[in-house]
Amino acid sequence: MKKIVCYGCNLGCGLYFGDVPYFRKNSPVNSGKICRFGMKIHRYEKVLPKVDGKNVELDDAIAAAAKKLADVKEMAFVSFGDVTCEEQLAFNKLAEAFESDVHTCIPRFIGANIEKIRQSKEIITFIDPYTSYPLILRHMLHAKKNGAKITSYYWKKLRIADESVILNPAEIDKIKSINFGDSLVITDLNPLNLDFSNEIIKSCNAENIVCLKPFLNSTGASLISDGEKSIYQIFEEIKEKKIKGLYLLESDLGIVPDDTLMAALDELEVLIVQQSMRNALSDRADIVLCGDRKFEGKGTVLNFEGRVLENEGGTEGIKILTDILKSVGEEINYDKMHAEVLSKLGINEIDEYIVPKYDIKYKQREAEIKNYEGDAHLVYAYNPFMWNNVIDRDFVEISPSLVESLNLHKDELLKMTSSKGSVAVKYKINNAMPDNIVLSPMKLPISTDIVTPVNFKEP
Amino acid sequence: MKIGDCVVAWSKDEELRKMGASGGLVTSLLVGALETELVDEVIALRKISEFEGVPIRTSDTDEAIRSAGSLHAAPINLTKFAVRFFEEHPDGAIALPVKPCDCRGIIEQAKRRKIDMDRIYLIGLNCGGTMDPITTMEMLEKMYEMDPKKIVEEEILKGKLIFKTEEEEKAISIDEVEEAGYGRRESCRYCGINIPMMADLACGNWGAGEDETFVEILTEKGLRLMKSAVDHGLIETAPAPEKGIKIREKTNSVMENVAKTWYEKVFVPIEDRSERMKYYMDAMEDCIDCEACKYVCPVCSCDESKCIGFYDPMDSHKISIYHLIRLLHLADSCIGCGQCTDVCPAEIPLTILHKRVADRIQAKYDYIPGIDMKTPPFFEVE
Repeated sequence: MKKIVCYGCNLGCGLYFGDVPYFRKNSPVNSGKICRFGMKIHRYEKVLPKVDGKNVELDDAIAAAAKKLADVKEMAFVSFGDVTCEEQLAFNKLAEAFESDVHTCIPRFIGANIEKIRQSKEIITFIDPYTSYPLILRHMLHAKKNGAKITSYYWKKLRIADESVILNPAEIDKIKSINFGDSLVITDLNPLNLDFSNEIIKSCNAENIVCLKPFLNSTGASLISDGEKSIYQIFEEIKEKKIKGLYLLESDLGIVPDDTLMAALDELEVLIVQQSMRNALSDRADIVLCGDRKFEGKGTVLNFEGRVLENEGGTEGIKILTDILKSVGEEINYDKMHAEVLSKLGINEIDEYIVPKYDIKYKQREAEIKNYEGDAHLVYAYNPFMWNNVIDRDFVEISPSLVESLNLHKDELLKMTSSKGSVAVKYKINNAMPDNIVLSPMKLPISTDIVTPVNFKEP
Repeated sequence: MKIGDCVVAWSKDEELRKMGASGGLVTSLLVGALETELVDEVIALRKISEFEGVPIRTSDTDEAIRSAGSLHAAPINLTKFAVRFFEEHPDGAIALPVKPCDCRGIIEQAKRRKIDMDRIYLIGLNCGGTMDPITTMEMLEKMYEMDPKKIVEEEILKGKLIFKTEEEEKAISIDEVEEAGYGRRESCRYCGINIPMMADLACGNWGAGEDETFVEILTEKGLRLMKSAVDHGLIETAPAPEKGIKIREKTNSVMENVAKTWYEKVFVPIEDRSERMKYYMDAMEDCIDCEACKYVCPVCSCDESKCIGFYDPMDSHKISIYHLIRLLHLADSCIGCGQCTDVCPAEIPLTILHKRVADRIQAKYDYIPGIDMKTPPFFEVE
């Protein structure tokens, strides 16, 4: 069995993998415990190499990618960080060879560590630990058991919170007036909520923020790559023809709530994807290069604390990048990348039980946090399945009062309409939900953003 | 040698005597079982550090030798690894070292036709308890003031938890470390089955001299294991001295009493029915539906699990049908091994919750799971 790190998020949960996952009880972050996603990490269809819709040998797909990279100018390179630091660095080399940067779509930031959660006496959380980052829950429960007061600012009441403040999409800017004091703040930083996180990060002492992130190696990738474009800027520049070709490394732009944005990809001269999972993006791509499964890449991973973890596995992903780089006369290999990663991190060896110190300046965004119009809203409940575009739960959560006011019967569907159209979905009644919010663990076709104004009238 | 004999034994290989615990007997038995083709494979824990052991299944004697040594802070139950072997090799034979809870899990799986007891050789290990690796590392830093990375050996002896580095050895009483919230896993503290009398051999250092293992031969298979290792020139044996037999009995009795005290402390009855219901609802409400408790459970054997099949995450119950079915399913089979609590991401004390139900049922039907092949009371057919 290999020692691996779960790619469900950037918590850095360690586990073993043979044919199936198994519990690695000496893993520092999770003591071997894994969430629902972790239990299912291996259950996905592997993609096959492809050029222009036809299955080909991997070498032919690599050759086609090298040719397109030489032909198409204004290429953009994106890697959210669902790869090891070594693969991210190799991807950097590729981008540099074509005078570009790699964009992770998540700013560089490392805040407080797990120990700080466990020792806290006051915690303010903006995430739902039960759903979004489940293995952070046990550390919060530990703090609570030791007397910590937990306040949540979220779309529904959280069981763990002593005080639950329900966020209202029409007045999100009210978070500006929160007095954080010396509380430990738990939030997340993901490609879809940069303005929201920015508001929190700029209001707190960085040492008091636990900043969770959604991809295997979000933290490591953001330390290694310098590109600063957001996911929405990338779409914008594609539309404006400033980006004419796109190379996505294990990064599904399909995570954006508004599916209509994806149409921009059709305007590209070339869309190259290097990934392991077959999905709508790989079906859409001109060239598909298939690497190791997300949890099978050999190398180094940094979790949200900056803790350096080792992932045992293969180097198929780096080999693909190595082969493409050969076409422009560059020589790289795994060992070189690994040595350079350790040097960049300022360490000689990997010790998962130590959290190194980092001196990282968070670059503030100038954008203002925005409120959403309307009386009722569909809101995304971030979770590892959603980030991987997998539907695990096919129902939304709503309040008992909403069910009553709409006169919904058991097994009936909830009908919602947004500016994009209508949808009917299964629902679960949850006492913790406010009446004006529909919380969804999956992407729905009517969503326009992470918060979408909706109404419940028949279209 | 004959069934019922108590002997002391040790490996004839000097290297193995050093690498393995208590004279390297268990590793020699595994090697012997492979070399004499008693079995096709063995299961063991490959030692990565004092706090990490990876379960392996192998037919390679060198790999079996590399897994020598005892690990108290790698609390893995090997039952499901044995089940996997029989799924892949229904006519194969396998040997493995087993703590009492491994052994009990295996017997329960055998009742459910997942393991062939005629083809599995159970080298039982006396067990005073195992420890969670992460809390043990924390304990070493805080209570022992020792660097976990420098630990080369640990031992539980005469009520003390002993850790050794190349330079020093420190011992603190188990009571003291457990009072501070460290030490053995909760399920081990109240477990009263310390000598695996349901295995083929019961091995341990209780009553044994230095670098030797005390062995009680319990079954025909156990005798076969011992004889084949002797005939193959791998081990030496001598009759167990009377003094050793008495020490072993006394140690076991002390451990049983400690377990009884812990049991009473942990399982304070909740007499009021509505309080009991509230207790269960409150504890289970943190569940995040990962299903890890079912996956890791050594006695769970359903191919198409009812607990998952009948559970609908859309239901708004405070205790999900999943847990209710598991509570019912485990009522006659829970062995209290603690694996479900170990892997629960929401820190739900599942083992306690299950045992609270199971102990009442098992007492009512005068049935102890995993001790023998007696039919479980809830089975419809004999």
